[in-house]
Amino acid sequence: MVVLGLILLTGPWGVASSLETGRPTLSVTFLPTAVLRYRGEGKILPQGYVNRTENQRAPLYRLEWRQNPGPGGSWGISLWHTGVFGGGLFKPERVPDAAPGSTYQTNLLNVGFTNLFVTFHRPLEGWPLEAEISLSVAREIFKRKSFVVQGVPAPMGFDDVNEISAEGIGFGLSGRHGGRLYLRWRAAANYYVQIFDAKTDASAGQIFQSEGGVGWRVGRFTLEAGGLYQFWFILSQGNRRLEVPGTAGAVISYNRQQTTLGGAHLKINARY
Amino acid sequence: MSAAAALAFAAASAIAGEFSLQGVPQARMEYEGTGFRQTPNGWELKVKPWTPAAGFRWRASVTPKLAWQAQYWVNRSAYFMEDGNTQAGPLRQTGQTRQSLEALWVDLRRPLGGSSVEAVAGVHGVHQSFRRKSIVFNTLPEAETALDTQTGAGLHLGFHARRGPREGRPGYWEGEVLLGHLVWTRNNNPTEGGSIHRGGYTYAVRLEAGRVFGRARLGLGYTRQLYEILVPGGRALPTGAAASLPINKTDFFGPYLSLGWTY
Repeated sequence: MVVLGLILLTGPWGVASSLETGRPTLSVTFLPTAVLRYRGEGKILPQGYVNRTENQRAPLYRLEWRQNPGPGGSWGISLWHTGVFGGGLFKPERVPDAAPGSTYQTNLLNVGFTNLFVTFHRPLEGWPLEAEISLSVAREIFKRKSFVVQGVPAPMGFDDVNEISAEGIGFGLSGRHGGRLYLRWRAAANYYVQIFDAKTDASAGQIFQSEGGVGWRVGRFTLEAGGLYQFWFILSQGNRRLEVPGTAGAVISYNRQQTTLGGAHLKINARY
Repeated sequence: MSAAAALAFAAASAIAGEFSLQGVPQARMEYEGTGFRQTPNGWELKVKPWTPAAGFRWRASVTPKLAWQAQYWVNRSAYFMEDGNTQAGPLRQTGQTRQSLEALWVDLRRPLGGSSVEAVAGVHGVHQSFRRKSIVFNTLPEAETALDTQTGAGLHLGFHARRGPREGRPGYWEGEVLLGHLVWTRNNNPTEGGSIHRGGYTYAVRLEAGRVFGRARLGLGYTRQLYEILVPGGRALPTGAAASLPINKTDFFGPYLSLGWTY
């Protein structure tokens, strides 16, 4: 990787950057077969609890707008979304009980998110790389249904939606190498706090993103294929239950959660 | 490759650079471990050591527009009281815990176009250990002691800005903010049963200002670092007391003194 990086940075092909485009761009990135993996840990007095979930199919959509790049930098906005409306699936979630091997609760779960990033890009001196600094608002959405708690099915129509939101600042680095045929990569780390959730720990989490792809430019358009991975860890107040008659209640939130998403992407850029 | 990199760094270091020794008279550390446990009682452990810490920072130029930096910190560990989460009733864990922390950040730095601000990209590693003794769980003394270690390695990105001394003004200041992601973690007592046990994240903030005396520099700074390490923890001792936890957050912060020189 280090050798590849040095070759890309020092070779004659390391000259093409977004500065060449000279126009604003609009792009759509689509991960049709993205897989989301969600894990939660929390507390309900008197015992702590964890969940067991299956990986979910979670198509991801990213819409980006980028100002005309210049040597002094440029602004961009990107909106990331996955969820039921985009084709995401419900998958089983299980909450083990205190006794080993026993089950407290089962239900179906879909995890989605809608995240907005406002990013300032600025090229590095003499290298075809750009540094990024971004502000973001992240919102994770949990939809649950088909509850069975302590062996008691919840009434028909019983379901739940709850959300976590956080605000963050992020740093990133990206590069685009080549001409008509190019290689693009990007990595970014975002640190989050929760301004509107004062009871949650001040250290609210992180989103780390990495992606790379190979693209082909045709006129004002580029078509790119590659892969994308996102790691997300976030805190929340958690510890909430819904009342299910005859039970101690349905678990619907956790205090610590980890959500990863990855898959192959297609990206279309249009300069206008 | 590593030999070539070491040779390049050594050659670069011989050309120009700066080295600083940094000491924190009373570094504040706050640890909070949470998450799955083998036994259902209790949920979190907290310890707040307040001990001296020290480190070094070594920066050298590779080219006029490219530099690398290594930054290392270590605390002087000592036993402090650790308190477990109190719950309804008498459930509680107390004990004496000695937490040690070591962190190394190594990165490359290059200015943004037309700016003195540098973009930073690099790798870092962290290792921390917890020696627990004199544990009392629900009023029951625990006969055993425990050693829990956690190690992580990751990538970081960030920005660094500085202003050196100028004609008639011997002062300087610099600051950096680094955000990291741990791509690999491990612990010495892995346990099955939890759900969050991989990865983690970090940050390191450093602000420093001081005065230059020829080739020497004397500065006062402040650092704040976070290490959130996710491992398959949750091990319980015979009484049910927690010996390790999967979600481990350590804050390390405090003002420091810096003595450096350029070469």
